[in-house]
Amino acid sequence: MVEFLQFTLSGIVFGMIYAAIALSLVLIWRGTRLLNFAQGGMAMLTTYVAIEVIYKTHSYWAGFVVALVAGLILGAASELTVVRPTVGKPELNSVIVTIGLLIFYEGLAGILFGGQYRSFPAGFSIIGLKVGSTALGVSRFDVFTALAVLATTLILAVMFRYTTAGLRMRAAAFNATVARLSGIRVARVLTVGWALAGLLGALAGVLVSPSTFLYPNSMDAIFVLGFTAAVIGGLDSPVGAVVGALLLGIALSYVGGYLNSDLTSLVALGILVVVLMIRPNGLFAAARMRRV
Amino acid sequence: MRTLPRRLAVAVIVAVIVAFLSIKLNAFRDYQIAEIAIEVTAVAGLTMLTGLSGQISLGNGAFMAIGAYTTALLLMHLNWPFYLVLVIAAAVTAAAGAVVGIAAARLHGPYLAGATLLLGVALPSLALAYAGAFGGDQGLNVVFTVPAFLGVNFPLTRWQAWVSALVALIVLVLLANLDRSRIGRNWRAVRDNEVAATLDGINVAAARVRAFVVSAACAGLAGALLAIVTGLVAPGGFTLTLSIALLTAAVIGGLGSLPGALWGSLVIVLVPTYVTDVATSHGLSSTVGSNIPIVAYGVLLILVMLVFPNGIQGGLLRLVSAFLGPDPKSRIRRTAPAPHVTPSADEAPASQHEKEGTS
Amino acid sequence: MTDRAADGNSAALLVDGLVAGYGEVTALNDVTVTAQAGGITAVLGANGAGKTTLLRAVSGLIRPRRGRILLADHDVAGRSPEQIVRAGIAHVPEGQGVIPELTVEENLRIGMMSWRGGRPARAAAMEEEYTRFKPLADRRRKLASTLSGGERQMLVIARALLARPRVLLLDEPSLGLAPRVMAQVMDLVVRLSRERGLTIVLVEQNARSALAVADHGVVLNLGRVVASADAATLAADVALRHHYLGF
Repeated sequence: MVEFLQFTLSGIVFGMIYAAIALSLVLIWRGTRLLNFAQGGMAMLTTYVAIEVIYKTHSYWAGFVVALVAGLILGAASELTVVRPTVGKPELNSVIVTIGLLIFYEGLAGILFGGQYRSFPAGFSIIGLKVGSTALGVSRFDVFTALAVLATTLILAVMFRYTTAGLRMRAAAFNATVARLSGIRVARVLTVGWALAGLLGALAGVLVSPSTFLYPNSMDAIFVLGFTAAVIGGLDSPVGAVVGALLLGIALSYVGGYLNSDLTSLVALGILVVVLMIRPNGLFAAARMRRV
Repeated sequence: MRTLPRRLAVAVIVAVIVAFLSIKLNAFRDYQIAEIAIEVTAVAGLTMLTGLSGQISLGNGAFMAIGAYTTALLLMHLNWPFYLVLVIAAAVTAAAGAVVGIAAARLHGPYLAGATLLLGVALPSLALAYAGAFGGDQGLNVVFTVPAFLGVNFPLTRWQAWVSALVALIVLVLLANLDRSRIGRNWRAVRDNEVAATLDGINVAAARVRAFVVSAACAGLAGALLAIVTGLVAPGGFTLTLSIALLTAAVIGGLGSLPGALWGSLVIVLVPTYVTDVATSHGLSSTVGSNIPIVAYGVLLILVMLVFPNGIQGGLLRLVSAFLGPDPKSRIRRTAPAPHVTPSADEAPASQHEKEGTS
Repeated sequence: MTDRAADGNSAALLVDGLVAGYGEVTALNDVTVTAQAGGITAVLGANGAGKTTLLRAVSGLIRPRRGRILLADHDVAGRSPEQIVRAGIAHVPEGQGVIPELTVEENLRIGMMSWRGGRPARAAAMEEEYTRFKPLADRRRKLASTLSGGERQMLVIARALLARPRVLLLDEPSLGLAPRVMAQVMDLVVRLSRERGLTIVLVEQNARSALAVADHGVVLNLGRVVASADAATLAADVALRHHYLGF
């Protein structure tokens, strides 16, 4: 029973990390109908920036904040330079362009920072927490991780629903033609969307790197699982992204705990296949409403 | 059918050239010839899948793994002749391709990319999960020897190069035939407009599955060759990086083009070692040297998609036509996928030049 | 230099020699249309004549290949839609205008995205539209998908009005509406023009009802202007009506 609790809790923590990636992918998908394969690579790069700042300033939080800001900048820069020209072209182009971006970022990291595994500090204690004498399987840092992602998600949700900027983004995502005819600078909105996605990725990067170590390919696995979570939830649905990510995180935690940790990606594949067979557009795929 | 003799003639000439080169060059070059042949086999299948039938696969590395492990296990446990083993490996992988194709038949765009991505990552981990049968992390060793009739002094590397090159050439000829056949035409029709293809009487799902089967068979063969050339089959050899490398080669060479598969493979195999050598001879560390090609690939992928849609092959064709003048009978045909309407086209951000109906 | 139409009114919008199309297709060939300030100009013709293309070229969704689009002496041809709406031309596109996933109020707020004004001004403007369009006021927090056809048309027009345009382009506002509702919409169009002095360019398949409310009419066929006269003259020209307008 205790084991079940531990696996569930740590599954939730990892699920939140996948959720950050999944949300960033959904954000970009809704805005531009594009899948950003470079999302993990961008997160890796901003985490490297963070660690350099931490070394220089000896301050974890300085690195944390700089990583988030770097995420905003990197996201916007990626959209402006490389992604914008692919809008309106066949979707294969943008898939390959973002893969190209991914490879570019990974090679760049190798050149700038070297390929060796680096350890990344955690902002809080990583000692397992206990209730009474029962080990919970999660640490203070894990709790921070879950809360940080949750808080960011809620802030973004509030921003989308209640601010004018959020309304602009939703309008541009639902109907770009009407948005443009109303004076919304859709191109600018897209850049902001990518910047926010970069922020989410950067957050995921600093939160997960203490467990995975940092090296040019370190975010590949997280990206794949975040991507899977987004697809399971339905690429159009932020709620779906979070739900899919939590489901995936918890399920994989059970598999790794009770069965065999080598089976986790196979189980993820199985879940993905089953979900897509039943709902080819994901669990929360909204029935397309007729536009009148 | 008229062109088949011509293709066979070309293949024979190439085979002779390769044989000649393999005798003249050293063992390392033989190994590179084998590497290139393996890469071409896999990339050719992928370029047909993505370029002709419009289905993106980020998981063909998994199919290579299936071919490689099948080969390793058959040779290890049953010790059958290698050519039989190669055929069986291709068949087994083709069957896997059918399964994946059927599962993926309803998926498009990012959903298909995601499913194949996860496949590429997950399948090799089977070998770790069932380490007893598949050798786990260490992998399985493959023993491959030169047949007796070639004599005792015939270098193994040369034999490996011959076998790989021969298989690659056979695959290329077969794929070239498919490309020109009704099957190939159907693939292009499905890629360009599924609705129109259905109205034309094409069974879209069958065509899509068929493309996966062909591409998987090619990858399986390539994996089988990889097993007998490198002598080791382990999960570490079939990472996501491999699948991405295959796609990179296909795109750089020219999507949908068989000569493109060759160009792309040459780049992927030859450039990294060359660049690393140049870099280290100039005093850069080997880490930097080995990452420069990676950065270059990234840039190339982006450039090809934005500026040179038909990759190297497209560039070559344009050069040729610039010299020879426009030739109505020339085989310059569109190798990149045509702009097609995705299911959610009405959501795409409006551009200044929308292609919608008039009123 | 203000272009003057024959009767001395200044033209709010002058489309001059416009050539535009999609890819290899040329949908508009040397089209000239004058819309008098404060009046209703109907653009008529069969399907495929180029009516919608004309509006899309004027509002910036398509870039014209040749010609000028003069809004009070200012040539806006080739500008982006975001710039053109700020210059004073609002376009209500055919069939799509309501964003069903957003509420009525959110749809209206979008109309004010081109503003620079502050919140009080915006709130006041919205209240004004709510007063004018009671059904929208009743449903302000509901999703736009719950509105009926006629109410949706009201919503998109209200939203366009919130952009404070000088020229309003309406593309088939009565499409898909029941005859009684169609009549209400036409009524609304007339009132907008009379009460607010708005210049209206009205594209309509239903030529009869369009000519009943318009001051001036332009008939397009296969991308060219085949007739341009005041509405009464066009309505009286039986041969023209039979040939190009279907009644």
